[in-house]
Amino acid sequence: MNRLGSKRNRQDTIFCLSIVIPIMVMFAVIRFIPILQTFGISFMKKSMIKPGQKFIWLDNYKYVLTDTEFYRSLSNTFFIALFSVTFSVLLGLFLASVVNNANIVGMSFCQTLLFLPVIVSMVPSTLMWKLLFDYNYGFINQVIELLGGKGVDWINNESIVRWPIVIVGVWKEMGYNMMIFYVGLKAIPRDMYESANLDGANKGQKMLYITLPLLRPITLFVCVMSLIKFIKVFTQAIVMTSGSQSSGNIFKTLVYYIYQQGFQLHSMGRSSAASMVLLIIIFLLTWLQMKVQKKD
Amino acid sequence: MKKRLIVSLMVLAVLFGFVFCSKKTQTTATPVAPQSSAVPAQKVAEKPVAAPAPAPAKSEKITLTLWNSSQTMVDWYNASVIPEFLKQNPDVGKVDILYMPIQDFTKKLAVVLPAGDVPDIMEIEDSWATPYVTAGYFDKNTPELDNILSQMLPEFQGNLTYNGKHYGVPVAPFHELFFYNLDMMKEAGITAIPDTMDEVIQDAIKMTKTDENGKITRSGFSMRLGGNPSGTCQKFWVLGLLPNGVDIYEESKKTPGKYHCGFDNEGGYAALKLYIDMLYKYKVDDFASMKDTAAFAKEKTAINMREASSSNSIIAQGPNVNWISAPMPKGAKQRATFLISLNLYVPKDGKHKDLARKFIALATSREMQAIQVKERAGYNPYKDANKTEGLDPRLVPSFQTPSDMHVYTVPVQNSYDQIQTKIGELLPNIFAKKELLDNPEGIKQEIHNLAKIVNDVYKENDEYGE
Repeated sequence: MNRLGSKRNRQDTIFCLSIVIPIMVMFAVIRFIPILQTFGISFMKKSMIKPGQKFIWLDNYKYVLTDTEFYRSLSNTFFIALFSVTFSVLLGLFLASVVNNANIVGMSFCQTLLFLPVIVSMVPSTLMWKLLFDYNYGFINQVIELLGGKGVDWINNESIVRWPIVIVGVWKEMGYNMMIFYVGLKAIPRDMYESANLDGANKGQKMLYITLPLLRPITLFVCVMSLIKFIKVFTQAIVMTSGSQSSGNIFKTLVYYIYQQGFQLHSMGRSSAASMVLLIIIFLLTWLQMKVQKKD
Repeated sequence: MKKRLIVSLMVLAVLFGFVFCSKKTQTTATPVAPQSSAVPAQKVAEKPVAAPAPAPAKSEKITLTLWNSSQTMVDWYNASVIPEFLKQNPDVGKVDILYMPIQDFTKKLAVVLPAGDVPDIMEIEDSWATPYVTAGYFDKNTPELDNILSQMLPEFQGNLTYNGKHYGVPVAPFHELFFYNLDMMKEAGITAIPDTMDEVIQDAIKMTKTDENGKITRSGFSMRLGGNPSGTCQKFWVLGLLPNGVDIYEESKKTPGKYHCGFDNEGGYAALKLYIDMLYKYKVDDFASMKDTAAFAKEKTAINMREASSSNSIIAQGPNVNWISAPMPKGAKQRATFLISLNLYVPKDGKHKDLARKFIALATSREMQAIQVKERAGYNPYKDANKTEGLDPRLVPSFQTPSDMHVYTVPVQNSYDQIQTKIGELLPNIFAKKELLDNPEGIKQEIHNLAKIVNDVYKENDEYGE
């Protein structure tokens, strides 16, 4: 029986490996090799469009880390990531709780509506928001003026345009987060709430002592995924602030900085160095987040 | 066990499919030679080129591909050039045009040209094309295309020449001009089109409207204060620098063929001062007001500076706007405009080069250019062409070039596009500094900082000379 069992185990292992290894090989080709190549290029003076490269040690990193534009991009990116992750996670959790607890007709339709922004392409949805935030004709300023306030120049001021960019990101991301939290909430056994009811726990206590602790792995997943997405913010910033109709600077994020170094200024070395810095930032933030949440 | 076998076979099939696809990609990619970065452009021509496409079977017709970034050009190609081209070349089944917005197009250029995965024809603006021309990604013109180019204005021959050879043929040239709203001028009691920049500012002041809070509801002059950096820099060049007698660059007297910043001087100071004064002293525009052609078409600005083809948008979006165009006004030192062009190039790795050249010859022919002028409000590049023939009468004044007009083109420099990007990115922040009003030292310092950036780019590209 034992021999039969071990033979069976061996067969299972071989079967599993035959499935996993090809996928891992593909993953390595698609993901790891380009990352390694980027790392290598970050030490080279290499043009995007001209052949040839020269090893220049850490010069690209020195350039990037002393470039004021890089720090401007970094600060903009952190701002967007911080507020977008916070709001999209909190709103996602709130909406998931509402959807989970409400027993009203048409809730699945509401769920679909809330999820809709996730599947809409980023460019048209940002353009729609850009129109809403327009200084002269935008709906938002019209509401502000109707309420007696003064219209805000949302788009053309770098310190103000951050908020519309955060709003677009949160609007797009919260539906996805809501779905993930909703699945997590559904997985929590009902009898735990029933026991809490018998103990006389109120809604807040149930949320604090049952829901949130049991949702911790889901919350970690949602936070990490949202953080990675928002650190890479690009499209909404470009669409919102570029074009001859815009005044002021393009809202520069880290990914835009990388894009600009590589595709507009043709320096693959600097672009790669900035990419590696971005990789390290994402890695550190994710590690920190996991550490903090595991400690909790 | 049978199930496992089937699953394993499926996984292997996927893997084989992946390997097969990746091999196919590798054959079209061009390996990068391990040479120093200062390799002359001719070297690139020696790199292995993708094998020519096999001759199509008799029943199989060729598809020619063209990439561009101008929507109005797509309409013109489809309506006028392609039908005629297909008639003349029965072996061609269709011409596919892939239109991309500028941001995507520049990204695509940087990726596909080095990889060799290119269309048959590329339509690119002068300054963007230069780094690719000097790197050897385009074929030099054949004698037939050179013959066409030789009949065009000398400015085009100059900015398409590298190492004594011509690359590309202009298909849609454009120059800068002013649009004026006649009703607003009448309302403000202005009877004549201004001829100098000082007059423009005085008229713009009269036509600017504000609400009770001081918010501009109608700008007197629509200023380019941001957006795409190269566009911001281009407008600063033509409105600020050139009329003040200076350019972005200056050729080194000590080392001809090398350059340094051309505006770290009184001209550069006057250019930035003009912008600051228009914004904060004369208050003819601000950052928040509606901008450019859309503003002009919606009567939210009285004067707009643009190329002639934007008249199509004015007509479409504001059919009732009563407007006229005029040449660039005279600045403090001179009257100046630019002449820039979208050009058609044949990529070195193109598959149907002969057909591509035939297409270019047709699109840039006198007949097609006459249609282009009529339909797109374009600029006819031929030396002996009547520049106003076929134009909307309202555009005619701006095509009657005054004798004192200085016409500038984009130089053939690897650094130029990078300079435009860097300067254009910094200008909006500088324009936003209200403290520069009546602050000569502050303005000089900003100009000096910009000049340093220009010189740094020249140094990086080994194009700097004292």
